[in-house]
Amino acid sequence: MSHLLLEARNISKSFGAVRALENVSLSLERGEILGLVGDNAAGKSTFLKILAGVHLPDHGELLVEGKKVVLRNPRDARHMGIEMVYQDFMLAPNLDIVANIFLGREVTRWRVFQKLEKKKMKERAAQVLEELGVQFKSLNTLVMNLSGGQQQMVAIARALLYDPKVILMDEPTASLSVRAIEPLLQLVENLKERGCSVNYVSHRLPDVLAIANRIVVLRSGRIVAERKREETNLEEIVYFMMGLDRKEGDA
Amino acid sequence: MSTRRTTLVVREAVNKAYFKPVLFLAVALVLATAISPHFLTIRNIRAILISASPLMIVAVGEAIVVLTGMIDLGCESVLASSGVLIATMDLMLRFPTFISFTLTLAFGLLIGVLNGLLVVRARIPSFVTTLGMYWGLRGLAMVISQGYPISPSAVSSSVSFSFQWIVSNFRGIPVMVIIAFAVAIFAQIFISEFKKGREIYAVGGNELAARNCGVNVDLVKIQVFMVSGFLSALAGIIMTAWINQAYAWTAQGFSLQAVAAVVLGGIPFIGGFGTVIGVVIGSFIIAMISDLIVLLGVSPLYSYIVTAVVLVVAGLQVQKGKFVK
Ligand SMILES: Nc1ncnc2c1ncn2[C@@H]1O[C@H](COP(=O)(O)OP(=O)(O)O)[C@@H](O)[C@H]1O
Ligand SMILES: [Mg+2]
Repeated sequence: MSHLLLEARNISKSFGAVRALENVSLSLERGEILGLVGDNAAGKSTFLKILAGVHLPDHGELLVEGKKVVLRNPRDARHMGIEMVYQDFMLAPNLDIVANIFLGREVTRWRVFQKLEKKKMKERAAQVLEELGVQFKSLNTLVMNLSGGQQQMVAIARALLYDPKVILMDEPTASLSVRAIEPLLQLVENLKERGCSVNYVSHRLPDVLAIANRIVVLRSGRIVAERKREETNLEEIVYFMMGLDRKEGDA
Repeated sequence: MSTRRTTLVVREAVNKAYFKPVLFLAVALVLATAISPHFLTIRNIRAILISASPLMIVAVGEAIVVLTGMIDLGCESVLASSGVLIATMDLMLRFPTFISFTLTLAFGLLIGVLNGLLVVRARIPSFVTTLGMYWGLRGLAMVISQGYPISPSAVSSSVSFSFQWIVSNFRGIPVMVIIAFAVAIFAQIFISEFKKGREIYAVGGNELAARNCGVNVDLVKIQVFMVSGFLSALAGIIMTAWINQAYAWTAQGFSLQAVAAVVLGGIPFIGGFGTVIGVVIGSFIIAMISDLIVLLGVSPLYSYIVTAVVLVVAGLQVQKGKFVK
């Protein structure tokens, strides 16, 4: 069973009267790009946030490499090698690039007082950004002075900092210019080559079809279809998303 | 050095967070010297530094709170009640200085914990929580002191508190000024060089991002109030020794003066930007205004109006700069 890196079983989550997820079961294999699609409010972000430890599910369980885990907060998820790139990046605009990449995981010395090792962090940040193939004039630029695409790169660099097993990406192209989308998709494929699994959420279906190995469709908090990439096409996915399908026997 | 390099150095200096406060200070010093020839004397500067010290200490605590995007309106009441507490312990209960010191500072920390818990657990905005402290602790000070000033000569045979040394001189420099600067330098290094400082800025910049990146935001909030409570209690001890009495209505308006010093120092209300150095300068400018008004022989009542004008001008600057998110 160890080819399953991450497994969610019968996950349900409500916010007050809103049932965001109902009985969702989904697994992620090693080195796989899983495309998760669905209309607005289908529950995609909520699902990723449960995997990232932001929300606790009301019902259901999570398994990482076959072992049951409870992710109480994002820190727990990070310990398990699960990183999330949030739709709105979750960056501190007032801090510089290095500080954002290391936010919450600063390199320090002196156990109690934790003095920042600024030089070490800058070197490591430069290294990660170089691997990503992005360049900044200065790594001490405040994030508020970066473009949307640049902020995206900072958020991705943060996720890659400590060789994660799983990267959850929520609408990563939402604030990118058209020109910047292609390199991002290439980047996601590179992550896969590295052995990293990616759960890629987007409502830009052509993008998802271009990179995903498998596609799962959410509608109103339920999984309505699951297809291998080679077994499906754009039209079919759209039907599933909109609830126009009349086919039987969908998972 | 090439011109390009020079321009770069200059631009870097201008971009530093404390550039504006330093500029304010320079302008204020030039103006003050032009207005009154008595201003720029060692004696007068020394007097300003002494009168600025308690405010500086409180304002450093306020700065740490405002950096996270919250506010502490209760500082002045922590200050007053701490004064009354230590005076009572020192004169009536005759506690050893060390004990009454420790207990008073612990009281400040405790108030900080209480503020923090009310904010993070009960989810009451800091503005409301600390406004509650503002009234509640004045009340406590009133109750303990029965509304009377507690001074050494009135209560006991001694002429001064046992901790009078805190307002003495060390090699000609007032100890309270040394303490104020030590607090400021320590705080500045702490927020810029240590992980906790980084977390404080992160909470001010994007609280949710900080939380999602594993920062214990609730703990940070409790801790910044503890710093503020501690420093207000320290200022209360110093103030008590300085005026040689403790009174429940001491330091009225101090919380807002501290907030003013913070704004003058370049920290916006949303938090996340600015330095303690800036706030030290802000405190100095506020003390300077009162001093100048006395030097000019104008009624001290005008100092409020002048402070108001300076504050609004400074506030405009903070808005215009890239301080605002
Ligand atoms: N924190 C929250 N509080 C209340 N309702 C929420 C919250 N997060 C999501 N929801 C609701 O849950 C449903 C699913 O939202 P979401 O997961 O963001 O969908 P998607 O990402 O697919 O657009 C929506 O109806 C949304 O309004
Ligand atoms: Mg979403």
